[in-house]
Amino acid sequence: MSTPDVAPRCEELDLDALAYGELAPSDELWARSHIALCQPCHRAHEELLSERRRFSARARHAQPAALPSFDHLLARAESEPVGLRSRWQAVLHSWAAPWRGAVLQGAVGMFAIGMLVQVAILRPARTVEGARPRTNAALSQGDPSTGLDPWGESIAEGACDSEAPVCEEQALALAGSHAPAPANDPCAGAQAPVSIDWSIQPSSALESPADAVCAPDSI
Amino acid sequence: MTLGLGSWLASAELVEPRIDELALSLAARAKAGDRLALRSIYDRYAPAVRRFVRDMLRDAPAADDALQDTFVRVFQRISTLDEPEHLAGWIFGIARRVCLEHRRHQTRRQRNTELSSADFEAADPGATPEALYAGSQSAAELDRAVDRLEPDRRAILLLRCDHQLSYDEIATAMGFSLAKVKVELHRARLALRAVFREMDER
Repeated sequence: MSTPDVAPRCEELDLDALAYGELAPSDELWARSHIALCQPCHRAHEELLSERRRFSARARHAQPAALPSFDHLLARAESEPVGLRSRWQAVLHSWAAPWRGAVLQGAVGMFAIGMLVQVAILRPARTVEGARPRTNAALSQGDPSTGLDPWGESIAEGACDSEAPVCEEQALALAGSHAPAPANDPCAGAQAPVSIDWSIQPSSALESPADAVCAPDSI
Repeated sequence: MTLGLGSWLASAELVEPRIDELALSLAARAKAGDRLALRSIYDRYAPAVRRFVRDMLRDAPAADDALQDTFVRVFQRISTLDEPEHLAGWIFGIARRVCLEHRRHQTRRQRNTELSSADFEAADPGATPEALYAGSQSAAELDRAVDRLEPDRRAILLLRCDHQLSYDEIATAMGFSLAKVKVELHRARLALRAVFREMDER
């Protein structure tokens, strides 16, 4: 780090690092210029130096006797069972190897992309918000006594509203021709002549690009 | 220290990180299964770890056991070392945990006496007898003062002042944050000075 031009303030100094010689030369010079003028910092620095000298003298004075043999300890390490926790740590570390991490990340990424495709592209074709799949089966579940379909709308002929699902319109436009409506379709006489099944068909059953999106039922 | 603790904590950025290249390469080689590197690590750190466990346990036989247990674990777990640059902190961290376990399992056989002279040998043969005596007096005083500190603070103080580990390494060894290491070190120093003052007054 660069040394600021201004004189350091007491709280900016790390006297501990200074006493243990851990400051960069420029910072050390900067700190020493401060403690030469600041009495409290000078005193604190002296205390730290004295503490360091005491510990150094103690370390010099008391040296340990002979250490246990390295080979003996290594043999012990190899013969003694490693704790379960350590074993798990080792397994995790082996899996944390960089290339394995990359493979794992790639797999997770592919899965995430797959899920995104599934949700963002295929799902809306089945469940466009607000779209009401108008299958013959669903319509036939309407209550004849009230004249309402399961969505509370009239099942009378020509009752199809203008909120026809976008997908339905697209399907019809792409197909280029309207398939004949079944005899029991209450929508037969209305604007949208075909009832649509919003479920996904097997690819072998698809006949036109429109089918890929919305496959007309009972064609 | 007379400075405010908050400002001292904020000044951490002033410290240049020390990178021990030798420790780094030893750790990398040992992780790869190099036995020679393991031996070098042992030769390099065992004396310091021995002094540390002895200071923590104050029982020579227990300290010898703890030293052995520490290095057995180091050898077994070297492959799990995450930060090779903190090798010293990692080893001292294991030593600290081993000491805690030993203390827990110790069945009050507290031979809480000063270490016998046979445990040590003078490292400075050129020193005069007076200097040796003065040195041993001073060392014994410091031992007594350090013994009166709470274990965590004692460990932090020893790691910093005796073994001169960096804050990062102490944080690794203790499992503390950097800020906590600084706070505890500051408190340990205050406590040590209070003990010294008390001993002087007697």
